[in-house]
Amino acid sequence: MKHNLKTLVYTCALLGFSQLATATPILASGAINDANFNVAQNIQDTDHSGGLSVGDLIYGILNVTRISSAGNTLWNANNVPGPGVDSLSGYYIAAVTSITALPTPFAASITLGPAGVDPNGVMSASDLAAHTAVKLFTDTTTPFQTGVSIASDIANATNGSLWLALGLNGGYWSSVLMNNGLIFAGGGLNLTNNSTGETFTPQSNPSCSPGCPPTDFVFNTIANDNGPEQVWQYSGANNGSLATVPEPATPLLIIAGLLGWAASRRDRHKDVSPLST
Amino acid sequence: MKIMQVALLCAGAIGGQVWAAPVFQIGVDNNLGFQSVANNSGGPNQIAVGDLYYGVINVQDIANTATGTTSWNANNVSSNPPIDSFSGYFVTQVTSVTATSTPLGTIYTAQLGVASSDPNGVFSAAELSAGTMMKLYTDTSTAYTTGGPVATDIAHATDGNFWASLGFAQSGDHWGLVITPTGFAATGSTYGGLDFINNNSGLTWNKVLDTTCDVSGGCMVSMKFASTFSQATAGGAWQTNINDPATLQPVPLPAAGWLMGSGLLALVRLSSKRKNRATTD
Repeated sequence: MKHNLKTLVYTCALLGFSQLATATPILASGAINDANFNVAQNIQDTDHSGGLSVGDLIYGILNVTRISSAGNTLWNANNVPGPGVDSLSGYYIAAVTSITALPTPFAASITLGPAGVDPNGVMSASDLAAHTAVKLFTDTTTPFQTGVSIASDIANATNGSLWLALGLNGGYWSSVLMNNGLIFAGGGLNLTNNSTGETFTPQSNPSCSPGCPPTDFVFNTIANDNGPEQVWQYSGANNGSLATVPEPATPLLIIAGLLGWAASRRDRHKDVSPLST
Repeated sequence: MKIMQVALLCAGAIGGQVWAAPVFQIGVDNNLGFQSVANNSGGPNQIAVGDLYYGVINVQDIANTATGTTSWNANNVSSNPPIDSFSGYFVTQVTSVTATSTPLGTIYTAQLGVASSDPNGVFSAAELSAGTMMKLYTDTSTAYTTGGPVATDIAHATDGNFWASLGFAQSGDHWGLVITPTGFAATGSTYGGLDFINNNSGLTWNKVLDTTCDVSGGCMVSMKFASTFSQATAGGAWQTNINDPATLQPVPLPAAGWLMGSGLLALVRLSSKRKNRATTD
């Protein structure tokens, strides 16, 4: 009886999760990979001016929901609390470097640059010196969450293993704020840390041509203003893309990774049998 | 008894992850993460009153807006059946264009309305006169594609089971478009609020607050969306890429409530047993 129960649990876990969720995000080699992600964001009024000013910090958490290439899904986040969590989430921070007032229905346009400090303590002094703006982590234990508290939401988004970091070293980031609360933005960032097992080739942001240099990662974002009483004032969805270069060593790494993952799952099943008494 | 509970939970978990119909979280705002590609009948990089914008939409995931918890992922991989796609088609027509001179260059804003005709033949005349702008389908046999030709991609996006149509059905419904100057890092955004024209989803829907309409305090609509808008790589079947969240809120149905309640009860019983064991082990 107990044995049947265990078999059922394992079969269930395998059927439910193996198809969609593996421990690390999957990228296509030698192709443009699109990452869709959601964000929750705040603006820190660094100079307490009551309005947006140069030097104010924007920071937020992001959750990658899907990676696809040429329209085919390669990886889906399984962000459901419980076993089989497979999240790719992270944190970002940048500083307002210029503000241009715009006529209605627009409010202003801003450009962003590297932050000098991180009030949330995610970026180290050396991260900030490298102009790191985004850090992404793979995580198989805690799901991404928003709306609990800034500290706990950031903790959930930044635990796990560092997957890559992106910075404003040679990159760019600008946005338009509308009177109705919409903020849309775009930019290009370059790698400051890469633990993905892939190498990347810089690409142009088609929206920015001419005028913007090719970068490792290009993105477009949109966010809504939810009001200052929320844990996160702004929430939005985004699309970014990375172009990978095929590497002879990559297939071997992937195979080794999959074998390791399979072995670790077997071990986990041995160690943690939630219904055995 | 335990086996029954696990089997129940198991069926629920699998149904939520892979199977045919999109899964919403009841009674809360749900975010549809979707990608879309579009064409403008007037041609790329221009906009004029009367232009038709049409395109295909692919919903990738559904998540609780407040918590981020995913309740459904599309499995749109043709080599990895069963396909589970939630896709559709839209057509809309430019009703006004305003050029605003700014230090960045000229920013164009446009209002979109119900199309006078559908160049791709998806919407009937009756659907257009009812205000239809978007139709969504669930599909388990063919994957969503964007590689062209346009007719093939539209056929893939609109086969399967009709889920719902949305459009202009009440005052406050609107659809706007902003295009930023060349050389700026974002091409623009498209945003709006639509209401159900024909609802075949099996769910009933609350309204959600859309603050992007031209009414102080916002408008209550069935579905709001705010999306980035960027140029696609030249030479493809589609000129424009669109990436969105759309937000909807399903109302609990009596039957759905029972199902959810029994699932939750099973969950609670299971977790309390686990806890008991953890404290006694």
